[in-house]
Amino acid sequence: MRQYLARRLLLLVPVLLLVSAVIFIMMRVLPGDAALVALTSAGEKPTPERLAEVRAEMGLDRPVFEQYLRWVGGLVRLDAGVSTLTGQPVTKEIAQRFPVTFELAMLGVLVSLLIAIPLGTLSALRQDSWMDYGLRVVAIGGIAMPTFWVGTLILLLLVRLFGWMPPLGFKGLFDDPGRNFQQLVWPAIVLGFNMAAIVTRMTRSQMLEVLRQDYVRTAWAKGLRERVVVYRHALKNALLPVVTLVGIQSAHLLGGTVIIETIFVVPGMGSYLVNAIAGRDYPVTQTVIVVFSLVTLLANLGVDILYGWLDPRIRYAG
Amino acid sequence: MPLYVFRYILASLLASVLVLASCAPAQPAGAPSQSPQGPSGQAPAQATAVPKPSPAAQPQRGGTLTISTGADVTDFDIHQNTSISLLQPLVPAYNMLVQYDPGDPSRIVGDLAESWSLSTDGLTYTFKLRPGITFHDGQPMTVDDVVYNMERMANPPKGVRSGRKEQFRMLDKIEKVNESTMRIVFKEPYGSFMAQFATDWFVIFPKSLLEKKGDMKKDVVGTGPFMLKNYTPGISLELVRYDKYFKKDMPYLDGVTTYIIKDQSTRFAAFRTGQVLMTGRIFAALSPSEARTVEKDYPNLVLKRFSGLQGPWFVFNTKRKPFDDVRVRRAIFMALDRDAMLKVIGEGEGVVGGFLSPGEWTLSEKEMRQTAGYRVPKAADIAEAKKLLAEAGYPNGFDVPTGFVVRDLVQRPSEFFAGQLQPLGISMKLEVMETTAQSSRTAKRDFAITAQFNASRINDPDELFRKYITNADQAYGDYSDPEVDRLLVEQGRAFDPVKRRQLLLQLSQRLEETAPAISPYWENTILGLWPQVRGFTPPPSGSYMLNRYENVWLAAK
Repeated sequence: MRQYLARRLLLLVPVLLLVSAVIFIMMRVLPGDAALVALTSAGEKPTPERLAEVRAEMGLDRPVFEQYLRWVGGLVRLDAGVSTLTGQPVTKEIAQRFPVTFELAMLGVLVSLLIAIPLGTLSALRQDSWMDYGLRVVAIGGIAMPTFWVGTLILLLLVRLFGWMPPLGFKGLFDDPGRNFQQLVWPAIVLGFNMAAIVTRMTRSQMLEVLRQDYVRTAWAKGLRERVVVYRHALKNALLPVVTLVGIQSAHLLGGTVIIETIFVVPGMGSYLVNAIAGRDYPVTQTVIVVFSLVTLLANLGVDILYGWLDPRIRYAG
Repeated sequence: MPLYVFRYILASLLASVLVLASCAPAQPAGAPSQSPQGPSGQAPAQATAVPKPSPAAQPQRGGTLTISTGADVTDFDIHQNTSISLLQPLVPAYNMLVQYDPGDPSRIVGDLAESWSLSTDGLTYTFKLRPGITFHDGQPMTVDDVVYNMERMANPPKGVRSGRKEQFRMLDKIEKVNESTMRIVFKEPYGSFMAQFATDWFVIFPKSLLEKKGDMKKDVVGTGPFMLKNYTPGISLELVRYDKYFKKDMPYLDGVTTYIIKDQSTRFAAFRTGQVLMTGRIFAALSPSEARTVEKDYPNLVLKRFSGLQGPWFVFNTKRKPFDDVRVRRAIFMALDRDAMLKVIGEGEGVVGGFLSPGEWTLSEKEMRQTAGYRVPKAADIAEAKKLLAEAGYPNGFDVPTGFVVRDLVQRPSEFFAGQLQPLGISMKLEVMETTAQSSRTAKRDFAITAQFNASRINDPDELFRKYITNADQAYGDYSDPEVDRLLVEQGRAFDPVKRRQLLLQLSQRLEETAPAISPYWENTILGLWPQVRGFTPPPSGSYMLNRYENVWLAAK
């Protein structure tokens, strides 16, 4: 197991390097000159001399390969440079914003699990009943309706029906838990609803499969109550692939909260990235993408290990 | 269904209701306890219950004014910036030498200066400073600070990009006269200088801090009525009362907080629910449909409309065929139905106009309607346009498959614009892109027509026509006309309003004849206010003034 872990962790390095190279090239290929943006946002006429000066300040006049090496070298030392838009160290800004997105994503996952697992199970138990059809329609709706639309809709409903919206001025979980909860519960519900749709369908199909198994038949035959059959015997086995799904979705969620963060004014990684791309903030964009990749890779690794722990049949060879 | 499932569902429903009820309407932060009219509560009694503020109403102390803005305040150095989002949240912490009177914005009154005078030759402005002014850090403000700041704006040192250089282009020198007086001397008479100088851009920073740090990007230290309490990036900028403000009794507010909300519907939601008491300016102000919603559903909220000196702006590349031919440009200029555009795109919020903005210089309705391009009905204009195009060699129009570079903000006006040209046989394909990409294409002159959004700082021809002189910063289309250059200089020198108007009319006519660009209409800015915000008088035009709120107060419920 230890060998497996070590190997997986080592494999992170070439993957991250590849990702960093790809994003680096992509940013340079995008139209839009970072030096020009910096100058025009300060209201200066972009004369060739000034452009050259600003490019030198930003390090853009060096050969491309040297720029790349400087950046990657900095990353290894946990120094991702300074944002060209705000002048703040990138690592500091990420350290402030990442916990916010993480909290939002985790709340979203929690909401989705609370909705999806019972509903998926119910759907499977009462297969082809009206309840089943109803729940499947809701599930499709959750997948089909885009999060930005649902988010704006919920906000509008809150404003029109209650004359209320989540308080502005974001506070961290440890600063002011009550306010933090009020601010995050609604975006979490929107995200959770969207995620729940997929997890519900997965849970349902998994349960259907497991309920057909011989050992479950034995349990019924023994005369056990439905609750015991479902919880003790069927559900745990059915949930294994669901765990994988949720794990991957959580990582996906960390990068996918952009629009929700903008609508509900949550200062997380999503809005950070969008602003950086619009402003051609190379250090921030590149670093954030690498961070997302790292998180996704680690989440996948975590899911694999968790799977091995949950299912005794699976043991990782060295 | 089985009992355990039923119990689970009941439990979760109960839990959800409790959870959501806990975050149900508590009083919104920062607002006094007046709650807004929901769409159902339109009792007429409510409309009259809010008393009209009488001129003799005594200002009350306390409360925090909350404002929204659409972009982050990443850079506090006002001298180096030109964007409203980087100006508005910070102005309450600063003063200028002169300002527009918050009680009567058509007048300019002293701010840090207690008086000023202009020499008879019109070249030298002398300012006498008030005594006893201190910065937030306790340092006294002296004439040396003022002189240093002016020099910084006029002749920025290396590494500083001054956004005010344009206004000082005719500067001769800046001089200290004595411990309370300083002079600004120009090489030529500069008619609109005071109008520019009184805008919120010319703030005074502490010289010592500037010398120590080189810039004010991360510091907020001024002489203004409010001090920096807290800046949370991407969220809010909080300013709190400065007790040693040099103007007696002011400010009345305890603080001013600007919330950074990027999404427009969220901004509107914040305003409607009272978390934001005053909307921001330009893009953070209300859209026409939002204004209508307020009028219909929230009749107790106050709307202030004024000319934003802003609107869509279509610039021709005078070096690219066929727009190098003035007849082609003029044909398009004539064919555009501005009234229809204002009605459809601007939703009626604004006025149709030409190069002369609404205000004291504008053409009368009658005069305007006689000008080609503004005639009603439109048939006469279109016929003449077709004739011109035929003369230029395009009797059946022409195609513009690439080169109509459109900033995403003005996509709808641009689509309308393209539609208007179809009767002439001109077919244009839009290339819509976000601001950064568009700036790039424009700077490289890689366009045929570039569609922008333009907002002027003050309602003065000097400012409004500056973009049409040879080699202007904003001469994106490389337009150059010696007649225009000459007329602009002459009108700037004319202190006699009658003479100046004559020159301006000639200038405007010349621009219409040569059609370097088209500004179809002048949009209004619609500011939204909660009725308890008192003492705020909006400017007659422009958004870069009256952002300090030193005389604003909040009425208790």
